[in-house]
Amino acid sequence: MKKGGFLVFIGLLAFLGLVFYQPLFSVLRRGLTEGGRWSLSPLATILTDSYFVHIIVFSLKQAAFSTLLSLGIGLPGAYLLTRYSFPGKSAIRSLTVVPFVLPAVVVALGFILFFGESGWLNQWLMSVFHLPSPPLHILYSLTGIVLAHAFYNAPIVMRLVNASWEGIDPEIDEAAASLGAGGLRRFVGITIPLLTPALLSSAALVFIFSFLSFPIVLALGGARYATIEVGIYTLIRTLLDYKLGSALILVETALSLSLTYVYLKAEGGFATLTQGSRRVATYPLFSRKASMCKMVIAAYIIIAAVFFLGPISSVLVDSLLVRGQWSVESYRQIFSLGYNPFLGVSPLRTVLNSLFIGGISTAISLPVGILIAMFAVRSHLPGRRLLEAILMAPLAVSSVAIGFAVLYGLGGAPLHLSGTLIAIALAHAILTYPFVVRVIRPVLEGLDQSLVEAARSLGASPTRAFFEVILPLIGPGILVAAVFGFALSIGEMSATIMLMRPGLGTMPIAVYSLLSARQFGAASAMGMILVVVAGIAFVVIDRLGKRGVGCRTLW
Amino acid sequence: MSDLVVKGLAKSFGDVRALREISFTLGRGEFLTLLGPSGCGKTTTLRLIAGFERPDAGEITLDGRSIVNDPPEDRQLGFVFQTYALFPHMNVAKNIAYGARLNRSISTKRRVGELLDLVDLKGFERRKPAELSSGQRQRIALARALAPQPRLLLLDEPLSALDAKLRESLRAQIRHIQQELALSTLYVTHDQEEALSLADRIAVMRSGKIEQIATPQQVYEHPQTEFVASFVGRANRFSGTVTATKDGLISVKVGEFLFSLIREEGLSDDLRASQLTPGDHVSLFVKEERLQLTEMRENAISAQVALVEYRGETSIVYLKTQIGSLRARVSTKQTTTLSTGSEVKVSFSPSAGLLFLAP
Repeated sequence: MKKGGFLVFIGLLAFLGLVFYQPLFSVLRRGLTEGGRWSLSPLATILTDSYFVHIIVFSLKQAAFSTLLSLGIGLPGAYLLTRYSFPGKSAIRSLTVVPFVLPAVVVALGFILFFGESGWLNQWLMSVFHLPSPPLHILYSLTGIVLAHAFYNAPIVMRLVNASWEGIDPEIDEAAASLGAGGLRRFVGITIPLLTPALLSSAALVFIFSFLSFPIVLALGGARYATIEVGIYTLIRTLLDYKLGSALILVETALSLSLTYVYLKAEGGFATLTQGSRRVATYPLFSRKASMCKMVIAAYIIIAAVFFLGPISSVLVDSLLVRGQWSVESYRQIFSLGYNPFLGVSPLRTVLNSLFIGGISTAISLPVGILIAMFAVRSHLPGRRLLEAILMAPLAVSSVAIGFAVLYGLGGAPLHLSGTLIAIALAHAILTYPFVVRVIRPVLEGLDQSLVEAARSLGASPTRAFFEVILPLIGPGILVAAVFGFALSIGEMSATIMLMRPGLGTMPIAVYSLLSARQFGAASAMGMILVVVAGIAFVVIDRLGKRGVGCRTLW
Repeated sequence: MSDLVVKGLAKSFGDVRALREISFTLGRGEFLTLLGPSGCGKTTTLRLIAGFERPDAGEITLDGRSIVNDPPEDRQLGFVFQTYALFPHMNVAKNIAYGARLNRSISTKRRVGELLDLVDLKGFERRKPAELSSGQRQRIALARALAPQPRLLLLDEPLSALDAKLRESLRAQIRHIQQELALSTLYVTHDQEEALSLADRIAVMRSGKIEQIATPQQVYEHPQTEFVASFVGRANRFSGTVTATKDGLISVKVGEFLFSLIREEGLSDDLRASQLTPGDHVSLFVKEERLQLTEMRENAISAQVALVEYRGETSIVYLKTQIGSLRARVSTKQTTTLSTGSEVKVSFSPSAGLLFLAP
């Protein structure tokens, strides 16, 4: 590394040290002190108190169920995408990115509107089967949480497993067939072992996401179904018990770091897959011939369509329906400057806050992410892998914990960020820069180093070569990273809620406040704005993503 | 155009010593090829001259001035990459114009036209690199490197990604352009046929050192080291012992056979200077095309045909003998009567053997 680059990198480390590592360490230390001295007693309280043990066990349990259900819904989808051809296939493959940019609180809102006691599904079932009372009781239970997590994560399973499956050289399967192995034998002996890394890594990823999920559990779990994330939130924001809150963060971080380690191990297995010259053969899904198999597939598609489209459509419909009449009244409410008692501020203010936070956080996460990606691609330092893992640490720390770390570490002197939008933006930047790295890194890796050398041998200075050759080539990747980071920030609620003060509300917080107050029309209208932002992000990622920015890299 | 002097170049990457000591000169308008197996340091040498890497030690001067501390953009050298490295976001004209534009003294537009003419690709101005065949890409890469009127042209295995036919025609085109422009050229390849057919001189490299630097004919016919003898061309190798040296002839015993060689032809410069004495262990090389299936008085062995491989005008005959397997390349006419298992006599002239002291 050149000297200038080295200095920039040291500056970057110092910045991350100040805004992330030091605050996080002081939180973890807080969880290990009692009356100003090192002590294990806060930890002991957490690990012996029946309430805390209950929420730790519940966190793991719901994550396990969520993972199983996500695999159950995602794997048939991966199979269909790999083995069949049908109109809209590539669109469906692209759409699997959507849940990732869709704010969790909007999904929670959609679930309440669709699966709730008086939701669309129950109303429809009651009117079709002439039932006197709603047949489904899904919300405010383990089932509701697990279903919502599957909504989020089944597409990830589908995408990862499908990508890996299509990467298997069909000649391997043909070789097995020519050696006399039948269909089932090949599936069990060849396909499944080759898919194992993808299965394991997607399962591990879903488990981590579900384990650290906060808005869904908060909105759909009710008081009885708290996870560690909700426990931390309650301890710190309601009970103001920083000591036990920090100790719980310590336990959670230890668990999530171990889970991330498992994930990275499994993900490493991808590299060994062979990429064949030919693709796996596909069969047309829609042909005249009906069969038992086709019926099963049709049933799957219908259930999946209802499951994925129902909640989102409900948000759209509810945003336009006021007391049974079509109306844009809810949107007028959202764009008003008037004080809203449920939000403690005008709704428009929350929109502006979100845009401001999104802008600042992207302005920070983008350069940080680009620098780390450059380091990861270029550096030959010993211990580079370890440093890289440390630099990606925010991926393995929960959003609630990062929100609290910023509050605890930077809220007071000397920066006094407590109660500012900057604090929220900073937390978002920490949460999103690892995703910027994951988008930019393959772009840089795909950049032929001899292009720069070619430019320089033709007389271009390093600066010139950067602006005329590198930048035009990585520009689309940078735009994707920026849009992605911005969308994640706009939809972020967990860290935000830890740093919230009256007047600092963002759009997701507004959705949560409105749905808690059962103002579903206004919540849906606000939710639709978030859906539109996610939609724009999806289009940008999908369009520009075709040029070398693989969506595989997003997680 | 320019005189390049390279002296004592050394370069390590971590623990790997890529270059130990590289010295050579390149005369004005000369075409020098660096030939060697992969990992011998030939590309590293080229990259050091271009300025993409810094040498650990050594000196590089061009026209009497040291360029070793200049950044690549100030060296005015044309570089053609193995992967072509065309700028994917620029069309052909912009790619070629890139270097010419940075050099203010050149009229860019006219230069692009001239170069497209030179490489026979008129009318391709607006194409993007992705819309070109690999042979066309290669020619555009050459045109781009030539556009700023470089003092020296450096080519790093420019033909290795192409198929055999195309390789041959582009080879001729490169040589033609180089001679027309009288451009000093350094060409890296691992393909000996390419090196032999293109170069004024060849530097054969091995493990970061130059083994021999000479004309293609000298390298082929009078290799100075055992490595060059085995790397250039295809030779049969025997281990033997010197039994006598007199009257300009050397006798070498291989197994039970006694071969005689002409001293003037069979020894490297170093070996001729020193004294070869009876009892010395030696390696004997005989090129495959120097083995004959017609019986001669000298150096004849009986052999059994193991396989005849038809190669058009010539054929390769694999032979089993008491001193091991041999490979002979003979005119196909001579092989009509041969079949697997035939008994033949194989021999070589005393001027065909090359001797090296066994290490």
